Parts: sequence; C-alpha cells; structure tokens
Amino acid sequence: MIESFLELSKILTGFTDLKLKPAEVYYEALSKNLKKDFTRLLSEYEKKVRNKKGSPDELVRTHLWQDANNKKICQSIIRAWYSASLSAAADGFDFMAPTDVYYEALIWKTVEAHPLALSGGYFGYWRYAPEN
Amino acid sequence: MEKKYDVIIVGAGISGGLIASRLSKLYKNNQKSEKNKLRVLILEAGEDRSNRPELVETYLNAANKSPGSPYKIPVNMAPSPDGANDYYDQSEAHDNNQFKSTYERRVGGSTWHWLGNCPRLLPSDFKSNKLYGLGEDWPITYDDLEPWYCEAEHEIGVSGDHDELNHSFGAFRTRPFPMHRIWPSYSDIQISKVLKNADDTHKAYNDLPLVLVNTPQARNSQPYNERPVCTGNSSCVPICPVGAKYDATIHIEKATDKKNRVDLISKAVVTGIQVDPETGKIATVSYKSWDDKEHIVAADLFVLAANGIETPKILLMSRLPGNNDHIGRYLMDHPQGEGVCFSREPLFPFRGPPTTSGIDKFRDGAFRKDSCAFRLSMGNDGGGRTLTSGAVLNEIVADSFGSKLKSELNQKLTRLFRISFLAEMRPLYNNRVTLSPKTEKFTLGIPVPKIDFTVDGYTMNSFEKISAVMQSILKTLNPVGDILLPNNQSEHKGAGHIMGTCRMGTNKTNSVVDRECRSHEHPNLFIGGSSVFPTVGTANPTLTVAALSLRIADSIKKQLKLIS
Repeated sequence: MIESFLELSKILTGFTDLKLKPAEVYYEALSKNLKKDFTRLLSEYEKKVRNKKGSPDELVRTHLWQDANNKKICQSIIRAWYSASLSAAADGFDFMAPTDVYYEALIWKTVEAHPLALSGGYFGYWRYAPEN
Repeated sequence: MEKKYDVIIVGAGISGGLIASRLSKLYKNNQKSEKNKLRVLILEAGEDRSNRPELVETYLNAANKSPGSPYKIPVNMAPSPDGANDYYDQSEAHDNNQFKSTYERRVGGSTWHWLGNCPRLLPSDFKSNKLYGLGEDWPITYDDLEPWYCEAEHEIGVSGDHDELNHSFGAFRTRPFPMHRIWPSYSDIQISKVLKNADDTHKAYNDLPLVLVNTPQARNSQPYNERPVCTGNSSCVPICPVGAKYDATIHIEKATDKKNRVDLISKAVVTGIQVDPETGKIATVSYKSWDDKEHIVAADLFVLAANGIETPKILLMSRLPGNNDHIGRYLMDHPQGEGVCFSREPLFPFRGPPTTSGIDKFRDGAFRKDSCAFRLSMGNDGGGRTLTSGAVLNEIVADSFGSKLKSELNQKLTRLFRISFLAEMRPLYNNRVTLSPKTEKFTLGIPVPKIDFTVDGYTMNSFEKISAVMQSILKTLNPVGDILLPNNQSEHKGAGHIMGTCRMGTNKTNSVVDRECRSHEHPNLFIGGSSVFPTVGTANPTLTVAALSLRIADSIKKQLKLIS
C-alpha cells in the first residue's frame, strides 16, 4: 500500500518527485494513528483512482476530496509532506518527523528557501533573489 | 569561613561572562604573579550544556519551536519561563497586565536565543526626563558610555555600517565597527526602492522619505574571533547552528581557561547574599545545588548578573540591611507588534538573518513629550509571529490540493512580509518583581517571581500612530488582500528585554545602584545587566548591557586596586 500512498501523495502535493524515505515515515505515522480510516482512504484510491482513465486530479476530487472524512485525511497527508509535522488540533494526533525528513519538507522548496538551521548558503546570499 | 575567592559573580550570561573574562586577567597586591591572579567564582543556576548540534536537533524535533525549545530538559531545578504563565506568578486576567518576555537560565544565558541586534541608546535616552519629562535621567551620559560601546562592539563582535550610523540623532562614534555590515536582504532592497518613490509616505512624514537603515548586529559578516561567518541559516532565534551569532559562552570559556583562576559552578541556584554583621559588608553568597544541598561561599566582592527578574529576586530573598524600596520596581520591556501583508511582488523571505534593516526615524523627537519613541524592523521571516507558513498552508489546504495548492502556496509565501515595532515604555513605580508566596518543589523551595506589570497610556496611546505608520509603509508594497495589524490598539507582545528593576541613579532615595552600577548601601556589591537601566529608549538592551559590564570590570579593577 506504500506505493498507493506515494502515488496519492504526488497528486495531493503537486510534487511528482517525492522520495520514498519521507513516504515511509509519513505512511507509518498516519497508518499507526488513523488506522482503518487511513487504510480505507488508500483502498478507495486504489479502487476509484489508480490506473483509471481521466485526470488524476479530477478523479481524486470526485472520489476522495468530496467525502468529508477522506478529505480530512488527504489534508493531513498534504500537511505531513509540506511541514513534516502534524498536530492534534488539525490532524487528531501530534507528529514530528525526524530531522533528516524535516529537511526534506516540501515547504522549503515551495518558499524557494532552505530548511531552518540548514542554509547551505554563503554569506549574503539573502541579498539576491533565489536562483531558480 | 575561608575565603577561596576574591570575586563571586552570580549569573553566567553576557554580563557575568564579560566581567569574569576581564577580571580573569587581573592581579592583586600590585604583583603580576600566578598566586596574585584574581580568583573568581561564577555561579550559574542553570545547566552547562553547549553541545550545539544536540541543541539544534532538539529544536528541529520540537513541535512548538518557541525560543526555549532547544533548551528544554525533563528535570530542571532552575526553570526558565517560555511563556507568560509557565513560571511567573502573574495575573492571567488582562492581556495588558501581563509580562510576556522570557529568558534562559543556563550557561550563556539568553544570548543563546537572542536576535543579536546591537543598536546603541541615543544621547537623548540618557536625559529623557530633562528633555521630555520622561522617567528619571541616567547618572551617566552617552559621552560617558561611548568608549565602552566601542569596546563592547569589538569584544562581542558587531557588524555594522559606521558611516551610516555615525552622528545619527547625535550618537557619535569614535571607532568603526570591527566588521562591515551584514548585507541587507532582497526585500530590504525592494522596499527601499518603493519607499523612495512613494509620494504618500513622503507627505505623511514632513516630505522626508522613510529610509531603511542597516541594523548593527552581533553576527559575523566575516570570520571573527575564531568564529565563522554568518551563512544565513534563519534559525537565529532560538539558536545559531554554526556559532556565527555571538553568545556568552564565548566569554565564559575565555574566563574559565585553564590559565586563569576562574571557577564555574553550574546548577547552583543562589538563595541569598549575606552581610557580615561585624564589617557591615556583603560577605557570603548561599546557593542550593540541584540535589537540594545548601552551600555558602565567601569573597571580597560580589556581582549580581542574573537578569532583570532573577537579580531583584535574589536581593529580595536576601533581606539586606538598607531595605532599598526600589529593588524590583520599574520593570520595563519594549512592547512589540507586527504589521503583515502579501506584497504584490515576491520578496523571498525565510532567508538570511530574521532582520537586517530598520527605520530609525521615530527613535527620537519632541513628540516624546506626549507619545513614545519606537523603532521599526523589516522582517526577513515572512509573517513573523503573526502569520506563520503553517497558518497559510492550513488556509490554502482547506480548498486546494495538487498543483493549485503548490502554486498558491508559492505565490503567497514568497510575498509574505512583516514589519515590527519596538516601543519605548515609561518606568512605573508599581511595575515590579516581588517574591511569590507560592513555592514549588521544582524550584528547590525557592520562590518564583511574582510580577505586577502594566503598559500605561504613554505607550498604549501611541499604538494607533505606530499602526498607521506601519500601514502606510505596507501600502507602498501594493499588497494583495488585507494588511494585518494588531487586532486592537492595545495588543502587544514582549521583546525579551527585561529592564529596570535595580535602577541606576544619584542616590538611594531614587535608585538601587550608583553610576558605577555599585549598590548605594553595599559598596562591595555590583549589579550587571539591564536591570540598572533607569529608562529604556528604543535600543535592544544587550549592547548597553555589554558596555556597562565592561565598565563594571574597570570599576572593580580600581576598587580592588588590581593591575593588568
């Protein structure tokens, strides 16, 4: 099911180059805490979206996003990938990814910056717009 | 009791560290020999743990990345506040009656998580009573402190633009900074451009453009004192991962070098200082180790450099003869707030130090008779404390996913910008630190500080004007959507600047210490730190603390007739 999770994650996050290591970490956290709800979402993904004709975005919107329970879990998947953390208030449980996974959070690429505490840059790089 | 030490310093933060470092090089009895080298003891309530990678890891693994997050440990017998109500005993009833600033009790003190900004106080800040009827004048002037400001900038390593700041508001500078300025951010440069061309903003402020000024700061713009250059890791508050930002462990390490006769005892929570009834002088300091055992040490001279809350707490617990009524009073902070918007054009925040430029225009003027001075900071950290990237993500994920979400998030977060104000407040007699009747087991039975605090009309009535200034600046960015300003005009946060509880003055009827930071009643007791500030102006206090601390070391040298 990890493969289905990775595929669904790509559709939900808009990133096509997601890595397996963070996927394993998020998959474990979500399956451990959300249990059957999470498994059901992935089963429905496999039945209604995976390898089906049509735009994956539209299939997800039609078959998963419109169901309140599934949407909530989809949102947690997005939050996990973008921020490498989940909160009891928004997601039903607290979760913080290990440091190496935190550095891979999608938020850093999205803001065109570096992970906190890991710039990898040179003095004064902040004077210029990001290169990409 | 055998006197093992000449000087005992309480507190291993920037003040204690600088004083200890200076004293460690001095000799007594007019003889430069090993046995005449000054013997100094530093007592620190908190732990001595400076494994930086380990602290960074703790921070990155913390769900709540608060200023105290890297430093939390399961059992801490010298707890540090990390919020308004987790340590202090104070009212929860009213937002404006809460003291919100925090600190770190550990070797290195709050310089572990400080921002690093190092502006000087202005000449007028030392005589604001005479000029504006504001508070009490300092018994020293800017001219008195200027050489020590230069010394402090070199000692801790400040990067700045000498020419830009020299003579600003009369604040002359006799030495350049030891390092060139920290470069402005991309957003600083864009905002400078739009402010220059913003007609409305000109008109609002006497036809003078608002000009961004480079912020002097204690982070390296080049390798300095065996520390690396800043590489813009953007986690300065609460921890610099590479040590490019100054912290007081540097001077604690210098002081406790094997060549010196300086001892450091951490996890030593001071319970009081005691007077010898025969001599009338302070003779000993008592402390509890974290295992709850009591200890007493003797010395000739004492320096209390805990901080603006722990120092008066120790003095109050000590019940010294003289019973100075000013101990613990006139507690001040710099109330802060933010204006936030999404700029029309990308500004690329979340890169580099949290702030590299500010607007100094409102730091002084005749207006201070009626409304407070303030300084504005330009943020490089998105929406600051007002609108986090997580909050923006939550807003977008409510309706979007996939490439739409990714694109919207990029559009918004690369344009997110905040401007902050730091406001002056008046010293108020009833803003004070006292001893809480509540004692907690986790504090070894030592009282926690009880805090009574309010921000009065002098500052509060200025918030509307400050918000209007922030709004006019944000409007020049042609923002997309609403500009977020403090919800009501009285909303403010703490700056972490704990000042004014053992103030400096001309005599004991108006103050706790004299112009040398020496107790009026007890000549062998000095107080280091921002608790001696009679007024606070609009400068982040640490550079002034450093300058005063170096001056204290010089006063001790003279008083004990030491040689270097």
